[in-house]
Amino acid sequence: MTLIAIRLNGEPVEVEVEPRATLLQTLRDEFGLFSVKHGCETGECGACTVLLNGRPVNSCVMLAVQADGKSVETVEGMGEQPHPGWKASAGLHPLQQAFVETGAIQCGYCTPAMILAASSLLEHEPDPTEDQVREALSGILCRCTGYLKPVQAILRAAAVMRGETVDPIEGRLPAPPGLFSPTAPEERAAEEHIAGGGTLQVAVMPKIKIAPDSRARTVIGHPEPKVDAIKLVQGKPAFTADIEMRGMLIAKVLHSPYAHARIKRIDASRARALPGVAAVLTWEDIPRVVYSTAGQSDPIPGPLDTFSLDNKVRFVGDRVAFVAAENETIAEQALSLIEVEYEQLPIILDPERAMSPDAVRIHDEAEFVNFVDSDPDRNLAAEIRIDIGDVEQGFKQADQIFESTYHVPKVQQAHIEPHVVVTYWDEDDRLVIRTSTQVPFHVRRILAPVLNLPEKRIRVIKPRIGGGFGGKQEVLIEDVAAHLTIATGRPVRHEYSRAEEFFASRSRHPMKLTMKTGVKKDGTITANEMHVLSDTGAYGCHALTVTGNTGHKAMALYVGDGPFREAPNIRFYADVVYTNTPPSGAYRGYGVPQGYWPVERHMERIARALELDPIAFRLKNTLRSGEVHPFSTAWSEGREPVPETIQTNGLEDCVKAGMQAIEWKSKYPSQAWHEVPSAPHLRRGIGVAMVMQGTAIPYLDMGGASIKINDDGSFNLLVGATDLGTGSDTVLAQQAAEVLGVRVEDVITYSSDTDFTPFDKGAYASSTTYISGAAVVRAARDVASQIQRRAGKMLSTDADPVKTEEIELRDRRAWSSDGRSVTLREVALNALHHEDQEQIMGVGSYVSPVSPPPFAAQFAEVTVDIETGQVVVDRLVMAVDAGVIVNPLTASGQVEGGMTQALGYAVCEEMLYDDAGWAREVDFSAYHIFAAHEMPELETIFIETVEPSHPFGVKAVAEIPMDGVAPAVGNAVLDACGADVLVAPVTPERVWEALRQAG
Amino acid sequence: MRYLRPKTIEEAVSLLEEGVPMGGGTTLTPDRANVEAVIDLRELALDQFSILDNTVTLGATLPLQAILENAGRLPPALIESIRHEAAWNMRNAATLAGTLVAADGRSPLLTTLTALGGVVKLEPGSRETALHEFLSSRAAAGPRYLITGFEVQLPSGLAYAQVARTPMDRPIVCASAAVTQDGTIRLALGGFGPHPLRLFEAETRLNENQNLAEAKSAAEAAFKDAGDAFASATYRSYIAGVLVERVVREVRA
Repeated sequence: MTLIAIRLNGEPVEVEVEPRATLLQTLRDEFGLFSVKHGCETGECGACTVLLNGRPVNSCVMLAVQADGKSVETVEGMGEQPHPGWKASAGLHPLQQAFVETGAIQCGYCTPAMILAASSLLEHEPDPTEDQVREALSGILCRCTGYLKPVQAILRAAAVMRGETVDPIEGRLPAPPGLFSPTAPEERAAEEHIAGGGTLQVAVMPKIKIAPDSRARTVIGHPEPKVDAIKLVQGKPAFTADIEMRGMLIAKVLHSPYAHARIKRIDASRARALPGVAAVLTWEDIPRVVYSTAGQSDPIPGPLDTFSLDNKVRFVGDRVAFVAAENETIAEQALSLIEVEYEQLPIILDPERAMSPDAVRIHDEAEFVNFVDSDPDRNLAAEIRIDIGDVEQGFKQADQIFESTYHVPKVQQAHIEPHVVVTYWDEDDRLVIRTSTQVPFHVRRILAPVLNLPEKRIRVIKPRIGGGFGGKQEVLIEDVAAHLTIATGRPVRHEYSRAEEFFASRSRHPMKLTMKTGVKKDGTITANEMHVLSDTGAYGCHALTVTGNTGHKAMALYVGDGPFREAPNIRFYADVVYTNTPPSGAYRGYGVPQGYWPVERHMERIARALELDPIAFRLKNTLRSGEVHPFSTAWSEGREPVPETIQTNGLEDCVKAGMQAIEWKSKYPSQAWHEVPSAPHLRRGIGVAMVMQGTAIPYLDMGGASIKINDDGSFNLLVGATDLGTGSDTVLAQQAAEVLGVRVEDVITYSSDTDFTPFDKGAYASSTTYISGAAVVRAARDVASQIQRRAGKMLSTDADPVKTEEIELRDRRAWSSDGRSVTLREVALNALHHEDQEQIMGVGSYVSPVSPPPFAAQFAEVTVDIETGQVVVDRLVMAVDAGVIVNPLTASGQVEGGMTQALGYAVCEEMLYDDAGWAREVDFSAYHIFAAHEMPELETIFIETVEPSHPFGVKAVAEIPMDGVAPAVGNAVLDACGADVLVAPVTPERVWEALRQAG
Repeated sequence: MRYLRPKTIEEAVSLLEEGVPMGGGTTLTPDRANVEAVIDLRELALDQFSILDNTVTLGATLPLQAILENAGRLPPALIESIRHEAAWNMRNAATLAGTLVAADGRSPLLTTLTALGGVVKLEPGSRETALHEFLSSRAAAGPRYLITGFEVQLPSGLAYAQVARTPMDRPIVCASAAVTQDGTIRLALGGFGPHPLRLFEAETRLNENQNLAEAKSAAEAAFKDAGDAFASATYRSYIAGVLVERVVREVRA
C-alpha cells in the first residue's frame, strides 16, 4: 500500500492505495464519488473523466498513485441543489444550468465528464468557438445526443459566465416564415430565432411545422427540462453501480475461447480454494432450465434455446462458469484457475452455410423448444414467408425488373454504460435485482423459473440507465448475479467490461437482402420482393421478430400506383439462421434499418436507370393517408394481424421541408455544385431516403399508470415505463400535467419498479410516449374527474350548485364557469383530511389496436475523394412526422442522437470475426463511434400531424432516426461520383472498388 | 505490483531490471496485470521542450497536449498529426515517450515523426538511436532502457495526409513528407503493421533522380503485402502511392 495526498474537490485528503488501483476505482470505492463512471478500460470513452490539476484526463487509465500531490476535481465539487429547504445555496454552476435548460442531457452517463471538460476549457478560453468546444469534448464519447445540444449548452454557459444575457428557451418555436411554403424562394433556413431581444441564441430547438388542427397546449409541446436533469448534472449516484452494500461480491464470467465446443470436463476446485472466492458455478451446479434471453411479452415469440450455463459453448465469449469474489482482482485470478477440457466442434461463421445439409448442428439440446417454423436440424431459428397480392402477376406487368443483392453489417448498440446488475436478498428474503434494463417486468417473469423462485419473491428495480438502444431489451446478465446471490447469500455486482460488451452481449442482425422490383416505364411499381438471410448468431433471441419487422416496415412503404396501389404485390421471405457468433438481438430500429438500406438504395438505382426524378418516383409509389398498411393483413409481431388504415402521414410535407432545408433544388441538378473548384479529386453529392417505422405493437404492447394526489396538490405518477435516458419520465409527466392543469414539477414520476409501478412491457418498439402516455392520460382523467367532483362540491353553495362537468383544471386550480376557484392543495387537504375522506387516485392501462407509423425523409450531403474513396458526410437533415411533439428538446435530441448512431452504420461500424470466430473489435479503437469533433451538421425538422388514436395526437420518434441515414449517404455517394456501393458500411475501400467498377 | 518513484535518472536506470518506466500510464494501466513494478518518471524533469536554432528537443514525459499548446515554430502538419493521434483527454496524460514505445503503424504522430527523422535519446549510456531504427528494434527483447527525450531538426516543410473511415478514425493509410533544411525529402508511410515505414527507396528516387512516378511505385511496393482485417493489400498499396504523391506535392509547394 502507498499513501498518497491529493487535493480532492478543494479539500486536502490522504488515502492508502494499492499501486495497481486506478484513480477511477479509488474515487468510486474509497471516496464514493459516483459521478466518475466506468465505460471502458482503455481511456477511449471518457466517462471516467476527472480534472487533474485542472485538465481533463481519463481516470481509468491512470493509477491512483499518479495523482499524488495533485488536485483532482469531479462534478460533485461543482454547484449544488438550488433549493435545499432553509439552507442558502449557491445553486448550479452555469454549465450545469445550461445543460439542464438546453436538453443536452439524455441518459446523463457522460454528462459529468462533459461538464468537467467544458469547465477546463472555459477556464483558459472564456469565449470559445464551436470548434474549440468540440475539441474540448473530443475525448468524451456520447451515444445519445449527437453532441449538438451539449455543444450549444457550453456556448450558452460561456456567454452567461462572460456576463452576457441569453434568451430563455421556452415556448413552441414556430418555423421561420416561408420554410414550409412550396413557393418560398430557396434560401438557407434561418437560424432559429427566439422571441425577445437577447444577445446569444443557441440552436437547440428543432423547426416544427405545428399541425393546424392541434389545440393550444399548456405543457404539451413545450421544451420542459427533463425531470431527472438536475440529478444527472450533479452526478448523483443514480445508476445501477452507484450503490455500496456491505459484503458485496464482484462477479466475473469465464468466457469460451472456442466458437463451438462441448465441455467434456470442468473442474473449479482450485478456483474455489482461492482465498476471497465465495462461489464458483458451472453447468453442473445450477438447475438446467431452458429459456430465451429476449425481453418480450409472454409467450416469447422465438425458440427457447438458452441456458444460464450449458455443457456446450456456441460462440467465442459464451459462458463457461461464474465466479463471485471479494474484489475484481481475485475474481479474475479465480477465472484462470478453472480447468476446462473442451472438445472442439466444427464452426459455422458464414450464414450461407448454416442451412447446408452437412452443417454441424449448433442447437442439438433435448430441451430446445421450437416456435412456429424454427428448425434446429437446419440451424434455422425462424422462417418467414409473407405474400401480399401476387408478385408473379405483378412482374408480368412490369416493363423492367430490377434485381440486386445488398448486405448490412453486424453493429453494436455501444451504450456508454455497460450492462450492469446488482442482486441481493432483502430482509423479507425476496431477491432484489437492481439492473440496467429496458424490460424490468420481463426480467422478473423470465428469470423466475431459471432461479427456481416464484415471481412474487423477485423484485426488479431499474435505476437511471446509461443508454440501452435495445442492448438492454435482453435478460443478459441478471441471471449471473442472481445465481451467485443464491449461492452465497450475499449481494453481488456484475458489470461487463467494454471488451465483454463487444464479444458477449448482443448486436444488430447482419443480413443479406435481395431485392426484386418490377416497374413500368412511367415509374409505377408493379411488384416488390425481398429475400433475406438473417444471421441471429448463436442464440435465437429476437430472431423472428427483428426480421419480421424488416419486411413489415421496410417493405410496406412502397405499394405502387394506380391499380397497384389498390392491391399491392409484395413478397417478403426470410430465413434466420444460427451461426457460431455472438447472438444478435434487439437494436434500435429492430430490423427496419436493415430493410431500408436495400429498399432505398434500390429505389434510387431504379429511378436513375429509368431516368426519373428520384424524389418524384418515390412519392409516386409511397403509402398514403387513408390507405391500408399492406402488411397489417399479413403479419404482426405479436398476435393475429388486423387490418390497419394509415390515419396520419406527413411524408410529403417532410420531403418538401427537407428538400428546402438542404437546398435540394439548387444542388441536385447543378454540376457546378458537385465539383469542388480548388480540389479536382473531390466530388460533392446529395442523397435522400424515405422511411417509415411503427409506434408500438398492436394488441400486444401494454402500459399501465397510477396517479395519486398529495396534500400539497402535487401528484405521484407511477409508471412501469422505462426511461433509458430518452426522457420518457418527463414526457409522461407532461401528459399528466396537461390533463391535471399543473406544471411538470408538480408531477413526481417514479418508474420501473416491479413492486410499486404498474406493469409496462418496457422501452422498446417506440411505444412509451404513445402507449404508456395513453395509460397516463387515462389515469390522469380519472384523477381529474375525482378532483372536479370534489371541487364542484367545495365551490357549490345551496343557492348556486356547481356541476362537476363545468369545472376546469388549469394553473393548479379548479375553476367554475363563473371564475371562482379552489387550489388543488385545498382540494387535496379536503379529500385527505377534512370531508368524505378518500385518496384521490386513478389507474389506467392502454393497449392499442393500431400502430400508427411515423414517416420521415432523410437527406445527406457528402464529399467523396474519388482517388481514395474516402467519404466525409457534411450534413444530415431529417424531417419527421412523429405526430404531435410533446417535448421538442427531448424529441429532437432523439433524432440528433439517432442520426449520429445511424451515421456509424453508414460509414464505419461493422463487427468482423476471424476464422476461429474471434472478434476484430473489442474496444472503441477498432470499433469507431462518432466523436464531437468530426460531426456533420445535423438538422431536425418536425412536421406535426395529429394522430387520432392518441389523446394528444402523438406517434413515435425513438427508432425512425436509425432508418434513413445509411441509404441517404449511399445515395449521396452515388450522386457524387457514380460509385454504387451495395454493402454497408460505405468504407473508403468499398467506394474505391465501386469507382473502379464504374470505370 | 510495486510503485517506485526515483529522484534521479541514475536511480531510474538502476531500477530498470525490476520495473517498467511509466510516463502518463495510459497504455501501461490497461495492461498492468503482469507488471511487477512501475517506475514513475515524474520527478526526473524529463518534460522539457525547447527549440534552439533549428533543433527541437522534446522531453520523454512531455504530454502530447503540451507539444500542441507550445507549437510555436513546429510544423502545422506535426500538430495536426498529434490531434489525430489522440483526443484531448488522452493528450493531457499520454507522453511522447509512451507514444514512441507503444504506438503502432496506424499512428499519425509516429508517421510524421518518422518522416522528420530525429533521434531517440536513451539511458543508460546517453545513447542516441535514429527513430526508424528504434521503432524496428522495439519488439526485440533486450536490455531495458529509459527514453529521456527525442531530438529532431526542424524541417523547411512537412505534410501529412490520411485516409480513414471518418475524419478522426485511425488511418487506414497515412503518409508524411518532410523537406529538410538542405532540401532533402524524407518519406514515411503508415496505416499498417507494428510501426510506420521510412520509405528509403522512394526517397532515393526523389532526391537523386527527381522521379516522382518511381517514388510512387516504390511506395506502392512497400505496402504490397499490407493486407489485414481493416483493408486489403491491393487497396493499401494503391492508396500508398496516391498519398505519397500528395504529400510530396504539398511539401514542395
